[in-house]
Amino acid sequence: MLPLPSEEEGAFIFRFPGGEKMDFLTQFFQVIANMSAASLAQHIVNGISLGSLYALIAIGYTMVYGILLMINFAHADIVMMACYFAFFGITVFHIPWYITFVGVIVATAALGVVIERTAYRPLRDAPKNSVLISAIGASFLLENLANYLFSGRPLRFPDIPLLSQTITVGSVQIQAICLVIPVITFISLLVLLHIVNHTKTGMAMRAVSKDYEIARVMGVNIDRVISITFIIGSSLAAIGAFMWGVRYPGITPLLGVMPGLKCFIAAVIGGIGNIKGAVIGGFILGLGEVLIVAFFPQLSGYRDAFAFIVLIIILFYKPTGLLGEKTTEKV
Amino acid sequence: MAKTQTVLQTDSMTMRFGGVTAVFQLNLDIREHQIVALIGPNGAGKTTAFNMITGVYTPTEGDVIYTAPGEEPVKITGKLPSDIAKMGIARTFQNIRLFKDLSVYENVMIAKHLHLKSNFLSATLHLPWYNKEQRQMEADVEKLLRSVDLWELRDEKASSLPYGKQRRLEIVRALATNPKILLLDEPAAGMNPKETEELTEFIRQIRDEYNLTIFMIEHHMDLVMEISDWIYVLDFGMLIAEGTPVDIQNNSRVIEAYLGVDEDAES
Amino acid sequence: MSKRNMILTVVGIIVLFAGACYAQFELDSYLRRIINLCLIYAIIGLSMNLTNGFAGQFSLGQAGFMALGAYVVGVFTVPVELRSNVFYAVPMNPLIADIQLPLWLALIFGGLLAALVAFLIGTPVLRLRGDYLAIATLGFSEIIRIVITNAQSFTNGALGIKDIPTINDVRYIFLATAFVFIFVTCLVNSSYGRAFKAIREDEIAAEAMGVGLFHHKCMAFMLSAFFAGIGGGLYATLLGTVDPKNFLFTLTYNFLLIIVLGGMGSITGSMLGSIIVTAGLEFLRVFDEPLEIFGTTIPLFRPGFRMVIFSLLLMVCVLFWRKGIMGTEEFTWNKFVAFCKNPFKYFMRKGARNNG
Repeated sequence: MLPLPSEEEGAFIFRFPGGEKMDFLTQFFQVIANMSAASLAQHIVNGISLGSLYALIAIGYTMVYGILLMINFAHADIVMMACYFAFFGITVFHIPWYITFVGVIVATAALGVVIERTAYRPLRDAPKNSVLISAIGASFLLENLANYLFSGRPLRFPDIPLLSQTITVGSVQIQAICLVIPVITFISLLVLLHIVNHTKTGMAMRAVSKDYEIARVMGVNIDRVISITFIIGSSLAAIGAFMWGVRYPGITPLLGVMPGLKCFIAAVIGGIGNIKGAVIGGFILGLGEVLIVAFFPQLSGYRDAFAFIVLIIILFYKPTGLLGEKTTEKV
Repeated sequence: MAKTQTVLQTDSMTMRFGGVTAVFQLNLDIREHQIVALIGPNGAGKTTAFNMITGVYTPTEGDVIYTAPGEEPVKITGKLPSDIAKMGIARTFQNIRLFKDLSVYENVMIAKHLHLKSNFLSATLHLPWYNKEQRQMEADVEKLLRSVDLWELRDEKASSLPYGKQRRLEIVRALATNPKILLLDEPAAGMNPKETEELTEFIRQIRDEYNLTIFMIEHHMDLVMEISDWIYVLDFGMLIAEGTPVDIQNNSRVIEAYLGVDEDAES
Repeated sequence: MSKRNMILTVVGIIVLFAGACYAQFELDSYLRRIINLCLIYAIIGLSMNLTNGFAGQFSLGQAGFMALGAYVVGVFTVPVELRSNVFYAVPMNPLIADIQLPLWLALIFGGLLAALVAFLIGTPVLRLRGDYLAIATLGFSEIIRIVITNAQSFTNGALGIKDIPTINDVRYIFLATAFVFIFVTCLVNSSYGRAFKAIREDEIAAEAMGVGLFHHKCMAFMLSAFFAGIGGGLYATLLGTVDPKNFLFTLTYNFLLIIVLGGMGSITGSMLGSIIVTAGLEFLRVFDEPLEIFGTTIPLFRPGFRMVIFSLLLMVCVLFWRKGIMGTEEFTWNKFVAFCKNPFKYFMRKGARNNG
């Protein structure tokens, strides 16, 4: 299971709302009173780095949905496989971490393309539900493969001292990786936006996501565009996975599931198909999750529910997402 | 022509998609028992108008007002398509939307569902009052299918029917909802002159037999001119003319709009 | 249904029930357990088929609804005197500590609770077009599990509930399964079943013909959850214990395989799919053990291989055999009789119909 404090921590006592409302509020005020600027800053940094990780993974979901109108369920499991690849590169084969980093990106991108070719491409003309089932099947297969090949025992992501060392800024203690993650996310986002907005390939990608049929008729090589989309999405996922592993070192076959769900929700919140939206959605969920647990520690068992509550709210008030555009179906 | 009751009225109905105005301040007035045609070049906004009337799109501005014969006018702007169908407005689709994998029989039976009063429990347990409703539905469907020579084909999959029969099935399915007004979207599309003639007769027949008002989008001018009591002409989303077939045939703006686009000249 | 078919159906059920009696008295408890599990999985597979196959709404929430049903049964059927033993870490919440229900009532309450939760999830999500239902139901399935894990005074949290009175009686479970299957068959053959199929075929046309989309989608979703809850409750009585870890979302994938294999949109298919998957899950266990041929251990066979094969099976099915065994067709007495009269002619006609 995830090393995140979902099930393993204490505070399981279910507080019955009616009878102990006062207690809930008093607890809240106590938390605020005891929170120093330093610990608040710590929480915000944690939230931003979690948000950045979510953003990186959410981009993969939103790009694939924008072009193929399908939820790539296997995306979350690609993150998981990337962690395993990193583990094998560094811990088992003793390759230096910076080389493994590049290798993991390449391997993960390749995996993404393989999945697209075998599981999604043959079903491009099939009814929508079929490709959804195929995505689930691919996800299921990856999870079971990981369980079979690497056993279900949690493995420990290799420690990279440069990134996991603690840095002191003022009175705040932060892991170096927490500062690295937003920076890398920002750089990746800039590179990606440049590709999408200023290159011919990017223009092809935007054309396909706007109107698949017309783009094909106009001579855009659909297969190539889709492959590139998967390469980009998987590479970003690999980068995210690597940093995720440094931050949360427990690797299990189901590691990607809950973050995957949240990242898709992040993409929906920001407007499915919209890259900037996915990033914004990622930050909203990351920051929100961390801050809620910071201010209401008794809710820490329910931290995963936060994303779904935000999803429901968005679906009620702005179903197309924050940056999404209303598309009308031709009848 | 005696003054007849308005069944369907649109009041400055407008549809904007982002920066594109598909339909602009359309005013329609469709009278009881009339056959009214909506014509215009491709892309003029005709199907969009249909979609606004039937609730698939919510008009950006303006209203749609429906008056069932013998009842008060009701604003149906923005209502759900299923509610609008229940009130008595039925339609067919430009690209034929039959339930492909279901049989001919099931396609028409489904159109009877909206008037079902029994709840799902009564239906599942086949309680007496549900069985009574079911038998009535079956009788109605048989009558409808026999009237268009589709009864023998009732167990065939809808997608296996030839094109002409599919179009007929779609019309009959819409009729099964017991509508007061029937909206037909290009019912003669793809038909040869003989089939078009049969369709013309058929439309007149169902209008008389079922006491309907008919509002249709059509490109086949012989059908339109032959059968319509009133014609509305749309171009670039705006109403450019309305009147009797004679008026429209001699209207210069209409001729201009249609220059080179008259499908009838090609077929 | 013609008189002949009705008689055949009743006779068929009696024959099957006799089979259940035979199984109950002659077979050993291991086989009985597998048969019971197969029947329970058939119920839940059918419930999933109701939304996914018949109404065309892609839901992945069966594990969560099962969990709700299982926990209602778990919480309310453990005898009161044994409860303090089970809830040893955190005492059971006084509101429910003394309520003990007979199994049939707990099953129904479990189903109703699941249906209620389905309503709450469905109300925001079913109004929208799109794939959001899949993600939302998957997520809520996990959330239900999280809530169960945290609400320790109600559910004993991660410790799970044991000492649930077990029923390993094939006849009881057969009757429950027969009831569910007959109910769903009658529903599907009624006007409402046709409405569901219309929504699956073409939502826009269905709506234009007066079928209220949200109303009917919600109905299918709630019914599906109800039966999944009942299945979950029966599952709890089969195992005798419940644990949040039993109801991971990956459990839902088993049911997905059942309906894809059997045919999405076929009631008969759900039963066939369940037989194959349950039997397979059991008898393929051998793949998880090291296999020795001529003294050498083949490294392929170790724990986890069985599930790899199952996921491959799901992929192969959806890629090459989308219709599954039955497609959207059912076993009918008419077809059976035609087959019996002249098997060769039956297949020739079937081939002609498929190619025509």
